[in-house]
Amino acid sequence: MGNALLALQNQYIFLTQNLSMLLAACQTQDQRDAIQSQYVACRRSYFNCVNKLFHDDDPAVVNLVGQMKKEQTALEKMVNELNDIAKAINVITQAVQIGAKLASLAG
Amino acid sequence: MILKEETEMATIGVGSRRLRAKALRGLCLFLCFGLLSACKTSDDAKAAASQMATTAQDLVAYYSALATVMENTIKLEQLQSALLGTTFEAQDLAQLQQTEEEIQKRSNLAKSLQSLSAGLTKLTGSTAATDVSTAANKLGTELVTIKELPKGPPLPAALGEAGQAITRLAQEHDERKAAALMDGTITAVSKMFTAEKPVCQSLYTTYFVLADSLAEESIKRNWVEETGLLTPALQPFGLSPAAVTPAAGTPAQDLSTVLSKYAQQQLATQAAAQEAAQQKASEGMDQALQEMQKRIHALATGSAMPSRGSPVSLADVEAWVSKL
Repeated sequence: MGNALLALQNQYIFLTQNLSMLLAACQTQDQRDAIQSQYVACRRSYFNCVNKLFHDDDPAVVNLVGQMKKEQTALEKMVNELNDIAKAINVITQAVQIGAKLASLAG
Repeated sequence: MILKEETEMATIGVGSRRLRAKALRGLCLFLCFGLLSACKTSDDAKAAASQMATTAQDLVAYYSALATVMENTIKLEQLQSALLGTTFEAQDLAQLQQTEEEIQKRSNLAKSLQSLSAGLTKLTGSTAATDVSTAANKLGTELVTIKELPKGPPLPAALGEAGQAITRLAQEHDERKAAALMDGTITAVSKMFTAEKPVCQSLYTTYFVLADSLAEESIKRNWVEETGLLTPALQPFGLSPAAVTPAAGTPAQDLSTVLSKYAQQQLATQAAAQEAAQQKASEGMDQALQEMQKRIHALATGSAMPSRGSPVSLADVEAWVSKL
């Protein structure tokens, strides 16, 4: 599989599997909205990539795939630190933004 | 003098008979070679047609199953929106429908390939010019309208050209020439499947993860009747689970807790098994398409067919499709 699609797939799977837990950890509606909004952005990036299935031999894509891997590790660590949900939202937002950049290189 | 002429005539007569016998032997040899060659082509054509028929049939099933996966994914996204409040707007629906439409196009392509294989099967036994022509025209149209899933590794360039060339198949009425016309198309279809296989697998994986997450959420919220899990133990004795509403601190609630954990384990086990089944189905489909391509190519070029045996088994594809 193209590394770009795999990176976006892993992010989408991770957030799908943990969405309920992340929402439960939120203390305010703003926090819940932020999680929801990042989740939807992540899903759109994944299907955007599926619908374009771009070449990922572009150096810019290779670079972003590397960043996505680091962000994925940060996401996985973050699940164990849900007491600081604001920090978790930041990590998710950063990861999803990189995913959106990756998907935008399609086509 | 007369005697000499008679002797010469006799010699000529013997020579002529020898020549005729030699010519006859030559003709016999020529006919034998011709017949052997025809037999080989016919056997090769039958082997190619049978592989093509089996493969096309299961390719239809594969893409139909994947179309069902996309339909269900849309339903699951809507369900997730209702359960967890995630946004699923018209643009999200359109995005998923675009993927579904592309899969549907591939399903239609597989159906045309199936019709063409039926035509080829008839061609190996009798005349089927009309059937083949109709199927070939349809396949050509499908190939031209289809696009990559969607951009990315472009479809093999041969695809469009092959679609047009194959429409001439009917006039050829010759197994080898027919195969030669189909060769490029079949190769293109096989290459397309190989290139897109990871995307198909990814779509199934994300679908199953989404289903699994919502099933788990339903179990957590006590919306699932788990006592059915006791059935294997109770059924042999004609027993059935008690219909109880668990109350806090009662044994029934303990049972519900135990069964909830068991149900979650079942989800994890089945998710892994389903994903593995889909991967095996994709591998099997890919292998069968490559075998079909090899046989058609061998028939087209008159080279030795690697195998004329039974078509490559697609049991893994059929097993996966049956579970959807």
